[in-house]
Amino acid sequence: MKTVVGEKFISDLLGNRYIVGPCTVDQEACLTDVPANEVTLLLHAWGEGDEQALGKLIPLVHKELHRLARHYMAGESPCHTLQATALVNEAYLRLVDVKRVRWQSRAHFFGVSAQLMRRILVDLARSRHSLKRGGDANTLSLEEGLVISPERSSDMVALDDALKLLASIDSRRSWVVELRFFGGLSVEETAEVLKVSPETVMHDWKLAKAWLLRELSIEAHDA
Amino acid sequence: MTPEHWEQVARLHRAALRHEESRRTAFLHDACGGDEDLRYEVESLLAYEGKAENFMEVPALEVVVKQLAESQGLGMIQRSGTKLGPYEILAPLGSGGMGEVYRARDSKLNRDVALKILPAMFTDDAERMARFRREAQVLASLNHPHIGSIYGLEESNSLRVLVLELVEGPTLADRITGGAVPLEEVLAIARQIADAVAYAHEKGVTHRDLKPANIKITPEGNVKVLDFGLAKVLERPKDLNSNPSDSPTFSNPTTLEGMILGTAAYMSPEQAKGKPVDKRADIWAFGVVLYELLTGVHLFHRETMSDTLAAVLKEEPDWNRIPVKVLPLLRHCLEKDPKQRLRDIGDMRLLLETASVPVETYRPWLAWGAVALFLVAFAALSVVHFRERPLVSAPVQFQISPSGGLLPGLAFAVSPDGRHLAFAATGSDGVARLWMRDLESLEIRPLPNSYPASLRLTGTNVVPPFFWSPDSRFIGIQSGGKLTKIEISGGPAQTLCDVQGTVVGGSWNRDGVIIFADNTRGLMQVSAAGGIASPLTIINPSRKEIVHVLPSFLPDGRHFLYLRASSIPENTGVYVGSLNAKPEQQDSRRLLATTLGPGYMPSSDSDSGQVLFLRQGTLMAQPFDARRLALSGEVVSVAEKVGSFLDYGFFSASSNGVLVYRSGVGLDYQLTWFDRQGRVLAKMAEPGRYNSLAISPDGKQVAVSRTNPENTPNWDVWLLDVARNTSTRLTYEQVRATFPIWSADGSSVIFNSIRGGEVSLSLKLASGAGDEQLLLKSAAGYKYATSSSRDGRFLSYTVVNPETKTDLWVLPMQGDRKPTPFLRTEFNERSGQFSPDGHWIAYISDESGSDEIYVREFSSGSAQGSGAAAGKWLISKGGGSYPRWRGDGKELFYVASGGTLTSVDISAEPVFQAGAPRPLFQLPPDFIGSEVTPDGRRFLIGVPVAQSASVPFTVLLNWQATLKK
Repeated sequence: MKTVVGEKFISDLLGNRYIVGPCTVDQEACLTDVPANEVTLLLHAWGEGDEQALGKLIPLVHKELHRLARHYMAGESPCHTLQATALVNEAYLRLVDVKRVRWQSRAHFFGVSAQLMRRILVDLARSRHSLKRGGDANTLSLEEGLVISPERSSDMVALDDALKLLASIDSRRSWVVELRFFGGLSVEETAEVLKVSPETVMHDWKLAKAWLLRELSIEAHDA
Repeated sequence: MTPEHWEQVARLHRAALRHEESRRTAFLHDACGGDEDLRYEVESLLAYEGKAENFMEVPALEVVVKQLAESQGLGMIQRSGTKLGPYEILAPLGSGGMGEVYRARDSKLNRDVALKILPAMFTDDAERMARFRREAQVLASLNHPHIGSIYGLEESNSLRVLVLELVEGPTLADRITGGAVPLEEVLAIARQIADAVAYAHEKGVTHRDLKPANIKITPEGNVKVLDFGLAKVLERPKDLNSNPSDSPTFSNPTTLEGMILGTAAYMSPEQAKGKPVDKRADIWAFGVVLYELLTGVHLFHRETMSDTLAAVLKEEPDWNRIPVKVLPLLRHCLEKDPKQRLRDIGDMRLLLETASVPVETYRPWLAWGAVALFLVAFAALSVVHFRERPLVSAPVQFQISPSGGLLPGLAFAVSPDGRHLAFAATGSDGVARLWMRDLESLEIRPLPNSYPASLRLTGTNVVPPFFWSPDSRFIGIQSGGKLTKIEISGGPAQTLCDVQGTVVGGSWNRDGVIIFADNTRGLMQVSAAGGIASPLTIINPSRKEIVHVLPSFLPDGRHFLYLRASSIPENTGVYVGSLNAKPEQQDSRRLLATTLGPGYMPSSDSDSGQVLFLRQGTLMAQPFDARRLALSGEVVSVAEKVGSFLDYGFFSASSNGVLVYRSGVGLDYQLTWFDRQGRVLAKMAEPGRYNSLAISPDGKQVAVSRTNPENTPNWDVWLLDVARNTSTRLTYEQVRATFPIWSADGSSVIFNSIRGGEVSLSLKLASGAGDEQLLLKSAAGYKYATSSSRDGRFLSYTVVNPETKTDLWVLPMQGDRKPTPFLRTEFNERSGQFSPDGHWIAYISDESGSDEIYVREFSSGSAQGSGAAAGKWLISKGGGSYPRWRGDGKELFYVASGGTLTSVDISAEPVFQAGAPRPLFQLPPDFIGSEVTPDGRRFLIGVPVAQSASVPFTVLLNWQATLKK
């Protein structure tokens, strides 16, 4: 059975649920125990091709994700609700000491970060999905006892698959999605990475979204 | 989908978004013309455009964090042991587009059931739930041994759960994974599905999502069709679809306008097109399921949704894989046109029964098989006999759409045997080539080694007309400064002779004589084996003749028809020439009046053939007595709305009744102002046949060359006033005045003019006062001016030279006015543009194999040599045309090969430096001109009113039958 798309995830992605007014980020509340330095070094190493660095990075990012989730659950989020771009940027700021990034360019850094986030988030969804499908749901808990709905984690996987398809016919627009959705980059930042105009990014983003949504909305493959 | 096709989709999508929503349909209709697949693809993406507005706008990280948080908070109902009313969840069974399915125990009735959890976005919608409750009752009333039952609808807490009959056993999808299923078994399965479908159809219920995954086989061999009718009841009501924002809750991305929920690979063509669906959609799906069972392979599954839908719409199943016994049944089910498809599942059952009868005793289908075989053989024969005479007696008409991202040029020609259509087109690589489409196949292929000369008069490619050899094996066409012949089966182009100007049509007789038009000389004659071309006709200045073009041999192979174009209308028309006459003694009596080149088609049953000619967009035919060389009958119209360009009418006839024509092809342009972001600022002047634009130094006027509104073959220079949006004609007596540019001070306009076969550069005051002044006169070489240096001392221009291709020349505007070559190499250099300070020239060269923008230093001294000694800088990356400087010289614009207007920062102090190319915006396909205002803020572009990619070729077989009426 191939991946199937649940509608709920799409509705979440559609953003209907989480669009709430602006909020200010209290930097103090966002302090983390993950050492930024370490992440920076690992990210650097991974960006240079060291695959082992990824193995060390993943638990750190997971930890950060769960920390954010706990804060969210406990109402400790700096915002009443998680606000879109701020959160991602903030997460990077916490995870990565941007000043110490010694990459050729900011653009490269953005690119690697987005790639990392995609990999981690999709892998996370995939592992939970396959565990869930394994049968005994009671034993399903990761370190912190959190379970993602299989329906929705499968959707993240489906999105990733669809994105790979898109990449096979149009690498630039798939990259735009990776940078924007997984990397949380703004249109301008994405334009900087891809060395195209913001207008091109905007159109690429629109087209890719329509294409992906269509791809996800109707099962192209047998359920 | 190929990347080329996809880019075409992306381009159109982007262009469509620039139109208001209400006008997009019309825009796409025009832009895609007959290419329904293309239009469908773009429209489908546009339909998702609105729905996707918020899609993925929340970054993935936040989504995941939310999921982590929510899952902890809510707890999962799906955990085994969870109770839902009387049902205890045992295990997940799977999931589908319509929700998760679990195995559960019904503690009251003590049986196992399947629970389908309806999606929240569905159940949150009270109205839809109410409708669902009503319709679920109908579904629950279905009671058939081969239909999975609906037991009930459970609503507890926030969950809505359908309670379904639990069917054990594999699905047909599982069976298909294991390979082809034996015929007898397939027939047994098919009969049970047909029973189930027939029963439901009688009850007025269609399945709408019939597919192998929805059909199970119990361990006892009993077939059960699941989810009957659910697709429809879960669908959004049509009225809400009209405006998704009206929806009280969510816009439902799974059921969009016209597209019903279903699995793409099993969708009927009408479903895929978003048209209304009835029970015949189930019959189609039934056919697909049967095909897949019989073959063990997926019929229409493709990598992407769009490819899958395209396959459903276009591709024919491989019938060879299907046993003969069931072939008629499957063919009837898999008719793409629902009207041709089996209407009634009862008929289907009848066919199934006949399929079960052993072949030996069942004759009717065998007979049909024989008929089918006969038809195939007949079709093959008819192709063979096509060469001699048409077999069909009634006219047959069909269309061929250029596909695969090809941008067709203007020129095309059908082979004398009527089997091939050759046309010029630009592929995704931006290179103009000849492409072949065999009329009996769907394949379009490029002709290797065809690099036709491109006029670059307008837009991207204007390949002049070419011609076939009488045996349909070769094509004669200009390539560079040579006339060449290319064998269509492959092989290099063979040079026949040198050409001075542009070859505008030719003809090739059975004795191996080729006649062709050299637009700077007249008709020429050369042997098909190659040699020196000799003049056949001479342009007569006393008759104010402009060109002799588009010759066409008559059946005797000695006489020919051709067009003489003159600035005197009475002298313009079709003339009869002879190989035996001396150039100055050719018959000067006009045969008929037309401004466009003639065609000739011999008749199969008499000596009288037909002269074909265009008048006011209508293709006319008039009988012609080839012995008396005289017209011999009434004029009749053959086709309407046939396009033309200059002297060339868009039609071509074979010698056996095949006529191909095309309507106007992107020749009318709307001049449009864009800003640096690609936003349309304003339109300018009425749409027209423009070929070249130039903005005056003060930015207040635009000089254009265009045909006259009366559409005579004359081209004139007009001046447009930017502020007032008015236009004034500047040249009158010109026969061809094109490529205007402004003098440095903006007081006058310089243009090229063709008169009596001579191409000159002329100047006229922009005020219109006074006569035009001849700047440069020489018979040899087509030439046009490209820029004036700001100090007014130099004019750069491009010359077409048969030996050195196009070269850059500089004409001093003072002193001895002796023209000097600036760059004359074996490559094509063109479009020299002086930088505002006069120190540099930006130009296009194909020295790297493709057109790129370069800059070289210019000084009055350097104009003396080849320019090769000076340094040069490559400006563009991946192709470039239309180099243009900003008024302060600090920015250079060009159009990259994909049609992206691109900017490069330039600094000349202390040394010349060019920045990295920055894309500004995407230009519309087939645009002309890319002129920038001195401040670098506004761009003037000619946007084609209709796009050439969308204009199909119309093929008319046995068109003479229309004449006999």
